[in-house]
Amino acid sequence: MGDVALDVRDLRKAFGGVHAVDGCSFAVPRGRISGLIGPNGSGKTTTFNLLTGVVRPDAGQVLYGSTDLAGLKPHQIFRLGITRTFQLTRVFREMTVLENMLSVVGLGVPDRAARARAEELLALVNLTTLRGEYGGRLSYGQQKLLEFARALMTDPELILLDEPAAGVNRTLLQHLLDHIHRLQERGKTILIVEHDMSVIMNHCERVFVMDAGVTIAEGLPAEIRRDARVIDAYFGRRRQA
Amino acid sequence: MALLELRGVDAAYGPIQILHGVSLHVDPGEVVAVIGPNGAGKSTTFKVVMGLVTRLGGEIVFDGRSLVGERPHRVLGRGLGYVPQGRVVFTTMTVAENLEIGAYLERDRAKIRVAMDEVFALFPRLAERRRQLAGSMSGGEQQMLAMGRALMMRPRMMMLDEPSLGLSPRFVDELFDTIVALARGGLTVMLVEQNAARALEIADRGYVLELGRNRFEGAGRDLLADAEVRQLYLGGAATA
Repeated sequence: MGDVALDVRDLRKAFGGVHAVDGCSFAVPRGRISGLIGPNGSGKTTTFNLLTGVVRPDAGQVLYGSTDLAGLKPHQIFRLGITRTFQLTRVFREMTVLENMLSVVGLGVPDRAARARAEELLALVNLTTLRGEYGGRLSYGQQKLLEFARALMTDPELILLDEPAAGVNRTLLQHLLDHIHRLQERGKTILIVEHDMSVIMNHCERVFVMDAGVTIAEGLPAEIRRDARVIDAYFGRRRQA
Repeated sequence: MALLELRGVDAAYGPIQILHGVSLHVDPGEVVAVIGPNGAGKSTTFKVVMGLVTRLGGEIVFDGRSLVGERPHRVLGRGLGYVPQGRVVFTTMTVAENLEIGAYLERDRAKIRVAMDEVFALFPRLAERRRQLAGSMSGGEQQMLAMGRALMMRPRMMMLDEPSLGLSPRFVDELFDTIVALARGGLTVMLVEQNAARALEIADRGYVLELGRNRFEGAGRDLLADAEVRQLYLGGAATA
């Protein structure tokens, strides 16, 4: 296997009697854009929560270089250069857009550089004119964009994006995807959970598929599109053509 | 005559004005899509119709009578259903309980039963899961439940705010099939979608909003084919 940024081995998590993640394994290639797909309720978001310390795994390993992330706290994982966005956004509702961006200052971003960087990223996501607006007043789509921009403030090595396209206008989405490619060209690793298949099929080099808490398939987008198990579990037969 | 008409509507959240003179109409039996960039005022348009945000000016007429000053439950009672963004269901209640709540304005038990049977016929999966807690269902099933709950009042018209948000491709296909089936059955539909190309495919007409103002309007297929609309709002993608 080539250079691996994140090696997930037999990860498990149960909530009460529900085995949300039930032996999930996959290896995210370094410096590439990868996708994680699967039906609603298949365990994708729980997997993200396990990778970022939001939820503690019952069993399994998450190897980032020689470090096992399993059991580490979110801020410890963040300091290792890993950042994420959330499906349901986590912006600070009573802070302004710019304050949200600068909230990561002190977490490794120097104060002087931070403001310029924040303005640059806000321009990227078309939020410049709203920089003085409270986070809680933004629409859902705008909160997604703010969170995306904020996630890039620390210049992370590994970026986990949970449904970045959901609620985002398609033209703006193209700009975000262009930016994600520029990050990848600079050597960053990106893992995207997404239901928008144009994002997965056109932008990911490797795709992992989850169903009922386990990885059922992985491969190139073209291979995944033809995989009978994936078609049954996820695409539905109409998309087979 | 239009079933729903907005004329020059201004609306605000607190001190911040979001809508600046938005006008649109939906004729009986039509499917109308509202699209536009993030922050265009699409969700706010629905909320001002329902009486959920402050209307500063303009007229809103449903079925020949003004909706101005009406409380949300009164709007609902007049036959206008609303499914907000983000699969808002009561997670610690069962499917059947969620549906019953949808009919809370209806006193006649027999009518509630008929409405529930209709919802179950439309969404057989909800019938299978009627005693299951809503929070334990998948995202696609919760979206079905949110729509089913709005149908319990047997509305003449429904407003759907990003119904496909966060749903897997298979569920998105099913969802759009369901919307088309409801429309064929006589329900008038207005929907907001960031999956705008998909929405315009099933829509009779569409409106493009930008920064709280009307920008374009036209037949769904004309908007889909319009080079500027494609470039500005549909990601510039080739025709599917």
